[in-house]
Parts: sequence; C-alpha cells; structure tokens
Amino acid sequence: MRALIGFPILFLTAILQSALFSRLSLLHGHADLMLIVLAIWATHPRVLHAWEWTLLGALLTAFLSAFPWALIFLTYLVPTALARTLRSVLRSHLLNALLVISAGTGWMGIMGWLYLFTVQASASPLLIAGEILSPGLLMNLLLTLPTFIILRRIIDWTYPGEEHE
Amino acid sequence: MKRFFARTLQTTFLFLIFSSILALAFGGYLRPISSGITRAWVSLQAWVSTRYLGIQQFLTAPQDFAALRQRNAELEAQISQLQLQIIELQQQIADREILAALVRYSRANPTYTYKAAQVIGRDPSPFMHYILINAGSNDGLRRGMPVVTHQGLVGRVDAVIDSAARVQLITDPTSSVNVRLQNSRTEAILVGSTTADLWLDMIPQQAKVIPGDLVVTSGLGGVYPPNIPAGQVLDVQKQEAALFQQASVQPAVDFNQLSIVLVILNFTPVDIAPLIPTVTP
Repeated sequence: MRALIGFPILFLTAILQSALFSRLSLLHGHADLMLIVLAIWATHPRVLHAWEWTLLGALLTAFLSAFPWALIFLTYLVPTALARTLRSVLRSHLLNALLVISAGTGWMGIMGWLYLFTVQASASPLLIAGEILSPGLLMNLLLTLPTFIILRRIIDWTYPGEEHE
Repeated sequence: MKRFFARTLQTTFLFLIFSSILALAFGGYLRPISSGITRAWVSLQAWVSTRYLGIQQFLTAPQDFAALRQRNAELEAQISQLQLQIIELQQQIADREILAALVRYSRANPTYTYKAAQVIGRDPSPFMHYILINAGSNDGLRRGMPVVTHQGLVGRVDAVIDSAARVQLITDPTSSVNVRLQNSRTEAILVGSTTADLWLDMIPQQAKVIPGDLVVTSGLGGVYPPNIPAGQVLDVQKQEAALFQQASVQPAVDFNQLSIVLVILNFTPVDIAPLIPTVTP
C-alpha cells in the first residue's frame, strides 16, 4: 500500500522533468529530477520500497524518452543498488543521497556515451563530460537540497518510526 | 475739577501718541519694526502649528496605518492580478504572432496539409534531442511525418500515441537529413550532434561552399519533402587529404524557443526498409 504513494510523486516528477527541467539547460546538461528523487528515496534508512519506485520511475522516463529502455532501467537501477549499499555503511541520509546523485550522474554519462557509440554518433567523452555531465551534476546538486527537504517529510509520513530494513 | 483735567490730559496724550504712531505708520517709518514683529509672529505661529500637526498626526497615526496597510494590500493584490494579466496577454500576443506566421507559411505552401501542435515537453535525457507535442494519431499523425515551423525544418515524428507524439529534432545525434545547398545545388547530409550543433557532411571536395549559403532539404530518400529550409552555412572545413568537405550550419529554427510546430500530414515518407539487403543464411 505504501508503495502506491510512489505513483503520484513519480508521475509528477516525470511531468516536471519533461515539461520544465529538461528545458532549463546549462550548456547542454540539465537536472535529472527522477534520479534525485529516486536517490533520496532509496538512501533513506526506513524506506522499504526503493526497487519498486526505481522500476516505476524508469518506466515513466522510458515512456517519455527516446533513449533505449534497457539503458534507462540500467541508468536508474545501478544508483539504487549503490544507495542500498551505502545506507548500511554511512549514517547520513543527505550525504548518501549526494554521493548517489553524483555517482548516478556519472553513470548516466557512461550510459549515454555507450548509446551514442552504439549508434555510431560522434561524441567524445571529454565533450560529454564538459558540456553535459558537469553542468548536469551542478544542477542536480543544486536541486538536491530542496527536493530532500520535501521528500524527507513525505518519507517520514509514509514510514513513521519503523526499524531499519 | 482737577481730576477731570488730569483725565482729559491723559486722554489727549494717549490720542496724540496713537495719532503720531498712525502718522508714522502711514508715513512708512514703522515698517522695519512692523516687519520684525510680523516675522516673529509668523515664526511663532508656524512653530505652534507644526507642533500641533505633529501631535495630531501622532494621535491619528494608528488609524491611518491600518487604513494604509489595507489599501496597500489591496493595491498589491491588484498589481499582482494586473501583472498576471500582462503575462497572459504577452503570451497570447507571442502565440498569436507565431500562429500568424505559421498560417502565412501554410498559405504560402499550399501543397501540404498541416496540423498545428503545441510543444509540451522535451526528452528527459540530455543525450537525446526530441520534443513531445500535443497531437497524436487521433489528429492524423503517423510515424515519419515531417515537422516544420515557419522558420524551417524541425524534424520528424518518431513515435505516436492517440493524443501525443514524440518528434526527433534534426539536431539529434542520430538524425541525418539529405540536403542541398541552394546556391551551388550541391547535395550533402545534415547531421546532428550531442551538443545540438548541425554539421554538413559528405560535401564533395570540388563543391564551392560559401558561409551564408542556404541549406534546404533535397527530398532524396523520401524522408523529408524537398525545399524546406534547414539552416545556413556558418563555417567550411576543407582538408586536402579528406574525401569530403565539412561545414557547420546555423539551424533555421530556434530550437530553444520552440512552442508551436506544424506537422505535414499529407506527406508519406518512403519506406526504404525492403530495399536494404538482408543477410540470409
């Protein structure tokens, strides 16, 4: 039942991402709100349905994007796996989220480069890092704190005082 | 008798003093004194009046503050509403201008049937240059249909659902468009890139390409209709050892400001899939 709250939140996230954040670009990168939301959700110590959220988020993104489905799922599943590992190592939720978002942005760059390489579109890794990933990472980190504050309240409301998974 | 005489003398004396003062005043001899007295009087009255007004203001101020605050709040609300109206009107004007330009374009190119659609989103991935539009198969859109604006070529429909469609922009790294340089009639291929820059590729070495040359679709391959402007040549890169020349192209369409596009409904792209040889075991 609790996983159901993911539907409206992720639906709204996908809409905001496509209609708003994808238009607000710095150089050629932009913030990935879906990654931020999934990372904050998955790194929270009390959250139980991180994988379900990730699959749903990836599905919604895949519906909107022309990027190959398999790569989209990989783009979001790997950061979730990292988040689930990190939360048992580090206690700070925000720090974990920031680490996962940073690593996730880098991973997204690798996936993007892999795709471009596969379709034989010219793209140098340096260009991707400088024009897409670095500005994207900056915008992701800027967007993390406000998203964290909002999501933290939702998580506390959804999972009130439960034991760690 | 003595008392009567003293009183008469006193009255006479006073009358004389008064008369002499009047005479002096009418003669203008008392002006410095009168002006000095008047100045002192005015200063004193002004001081008293100022203090009185200050005290009155102090006593009535709380009422005025409340009334002013209320009035201020009302005016601020009114300003906010007016600003919203201004934004809406500006948006309407901008939309109307775009629509008027699109109508002019469709009238100037009556060969094709167009469907106007609003851009409602962009691809979430920064590596993909696609837009989402609010027209779909219910509006007659099919996969492969070309998309234009009054400025020029935008791209083609990549995926369709009943009420929306995804359009691949010509700036997408996987996009390639057969084009022709309008002046020299040279054929080339316009390709997109990750950074949304457009490149003209496969230009023959002997072709004369000048910055500013207009790039239009050639119609070869049957993917896009011919003679739709795609951009202008910015810079030519010619290397003696290379097989072809390359050139960077300024897109005709401002892809950052895309809000309304036209889908060409009566152009069916040629499906060349059966012509592509397949390896059979």
